[in-house]
Amino acid sequence: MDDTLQILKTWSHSQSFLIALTIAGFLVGRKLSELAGQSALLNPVITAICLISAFLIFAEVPYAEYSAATSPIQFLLNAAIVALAIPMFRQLRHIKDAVGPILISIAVGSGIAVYSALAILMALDASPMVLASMAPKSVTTPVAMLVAPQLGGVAALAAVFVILTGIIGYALGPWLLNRLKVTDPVARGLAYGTVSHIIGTSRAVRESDLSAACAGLAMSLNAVATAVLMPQLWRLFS
Amino acid sequence: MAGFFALILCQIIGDLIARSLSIPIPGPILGILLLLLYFLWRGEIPEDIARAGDLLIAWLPFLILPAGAGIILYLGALASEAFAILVALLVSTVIALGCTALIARALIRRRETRAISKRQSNYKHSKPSEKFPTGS
Repeated sequence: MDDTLQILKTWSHSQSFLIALTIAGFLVGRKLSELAGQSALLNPVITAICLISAFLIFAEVPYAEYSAATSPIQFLLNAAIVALAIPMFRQLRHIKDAVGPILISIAVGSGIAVYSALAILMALDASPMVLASMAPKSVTTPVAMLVAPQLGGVAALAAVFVILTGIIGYALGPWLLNRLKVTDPVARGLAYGTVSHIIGTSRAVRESDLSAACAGLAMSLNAVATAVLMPQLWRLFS
Repeated sequence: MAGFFALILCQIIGDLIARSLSIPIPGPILGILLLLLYFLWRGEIPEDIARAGDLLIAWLPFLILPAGAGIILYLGALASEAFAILVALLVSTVIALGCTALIARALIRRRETRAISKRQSNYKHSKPSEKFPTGS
């Protein structure tokens, strides 16, 4: 009995097992989210991260070992991030009219998202690591995970903050925008996409095509602008 | 396969540029900009790049899992600062959503009223027959 447990334990450290574990975690997360009616509240990525983490702790697999074993996945991730240029190029045609209002709204909204969070964290005495990890919270997850370490933050924390930001925007956005009596689909879409990235965009998709297009555009522009500017600005002010 | 190769190539060139000029911009982000410039120059997205890229983008939620599981190294920090983190996320998301929507609405309205007044002043200077265009 002890022998089989030992064999299982050794096996759970193999590369193919750890990659399979990652796929299984994702499939379970997606299935649960589907069962919950595709609601963003039960986010498949959060579920999958919880399942995988729980297994790694239970089976005593050090994170460094898991990370090394799953390096092929991280290699594909870099190629997938470059591919974000494709939706961005497709969305650029929506910007033809109203360039000024769209760009200004995205830039100001993005700035407010960053500085309001930093101000609250500083007032509550949060650690510099949490500050740096939360700064890119309104940007799509893979991009935030690249930006956070450049500011002295942690990619994994950034991922969790980004997804929570998306879920909050998804859950409270419609109520808030209705209360503020913002009915314009362009304004609603820009707010969803700038602040709550892809999860907010999925809410805009339910409202209207124009709203969804504006949200997608705002998400793309905010991601690239934040990734380019935030590390330079961070250097200046810290 | 050529599309996939192009994506990797953009990322490698992006990495090279970032490292050789030591600018703190992640390589894949420079890769996005390079690919975007290529699309703008071509005026379209080559089909093989679109096929490979759309597939990879659909996989993004899965691809971030290995890095996301790194959270197990920071569970202590997450627990001890949970209050500050939740307050900051909740309040700043609500403020930013509201402000972005209000600013966007104000700017769009201002632009529309300007466009209307411009059209009206154009009508004044045009011949009476052009004042009410029939087709639209």
